[in-house]
Amino acid sequence: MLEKSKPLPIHRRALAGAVLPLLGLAPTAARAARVFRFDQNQGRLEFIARHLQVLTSTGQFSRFDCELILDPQRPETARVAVQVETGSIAHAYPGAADLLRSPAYFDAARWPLARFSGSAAPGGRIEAFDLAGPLELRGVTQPFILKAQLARRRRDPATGAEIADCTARGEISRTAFGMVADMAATGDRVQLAVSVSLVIG
Amino acid sequence: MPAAWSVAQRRLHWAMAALVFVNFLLALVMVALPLSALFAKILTYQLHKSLGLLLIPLWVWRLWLLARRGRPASVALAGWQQGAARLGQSALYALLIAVPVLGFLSAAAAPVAVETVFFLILPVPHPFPPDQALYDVLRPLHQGAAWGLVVLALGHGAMAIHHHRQGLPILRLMWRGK
Repeated sequence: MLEKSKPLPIHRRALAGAVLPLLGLAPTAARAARVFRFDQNQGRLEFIARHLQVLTSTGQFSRFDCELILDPQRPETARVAVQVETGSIAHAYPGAADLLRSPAYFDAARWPLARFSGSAAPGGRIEAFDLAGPLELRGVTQPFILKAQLARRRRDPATGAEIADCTARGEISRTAFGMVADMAATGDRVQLAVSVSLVIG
Repeated sequence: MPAAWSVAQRRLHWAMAALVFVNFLLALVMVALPLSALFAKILTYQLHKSLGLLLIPLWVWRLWLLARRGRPASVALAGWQQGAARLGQSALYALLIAVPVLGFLSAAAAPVAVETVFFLILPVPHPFPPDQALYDVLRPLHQGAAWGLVVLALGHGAMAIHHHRQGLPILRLMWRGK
């Protein structure tokens, strides 16, 4: 089971690099945007399935990489890229991870990676903004939307840095990705959820 | 002291006995079912939890009836047999409440964090979040207590049949009321 770590000490860098700002060429928005990179050591990537319409079960991926480019003042410019090792599924129920890795589900041996890259849609607020783009899973690419938010902004009393909890959730149709097993027991809609604490200021 | 068990007491006695044995068999089945039979596995787990929860109010009702109406006068048993019977019945009452409560708590502590929904209709909130260390304690306690309950109930039944064959009316009083 992964433990949520302390807020991520992000190595920040200007989007346009170091040279352009010195020349006065970088746009204001780009200067404020930061790149946040995190993986399973700092964040958490979970999937939540529904069973018999009334029950839920949650599993997680224990190996993934995420790069989020975000200007907290201009969330409409945000971009994200996530890469997940599908074989890294962890589930508390004995045997469930093996079942989910099998060809009936993620088929991790044949499709070891899932990828998502999304860009923010105009009009978003930092409290709630969408990241839309293609999700590639099991060799199938489908449009996908992550509904993200930056919440609980606060100061770290030790460092004085501004921290926020970033969460993003989206829903896939598993049948659209060819996962059609156990339809009587498990619903078609599966939620994907990412969460991480970010140092934003 | 009443002359016989009331109808409600007798019905509760047999209903709880049936629930205990059905739920015990259900537990063996649900654990043995492979994940490939996911639908049946989920259903049996939820049914097991629901029947277990049902035992709790029935136990309270039964104790309330016992306190209010009492029990019929003891039949002519040897002193040590009366003592053993009373001890066994007390242990049965204790296990009848301990097993479902421990089961519910271990469901709450289970890391898999699947909700409890009474007969797939009524969500029953868990009193605390999943906790592996607590689960590692509660789960074997629930299992051990359940085996203890079933073994004790079988012994209780065997003794009732034994006394019945000796001509004592213990089984008849609980079955037919007179």
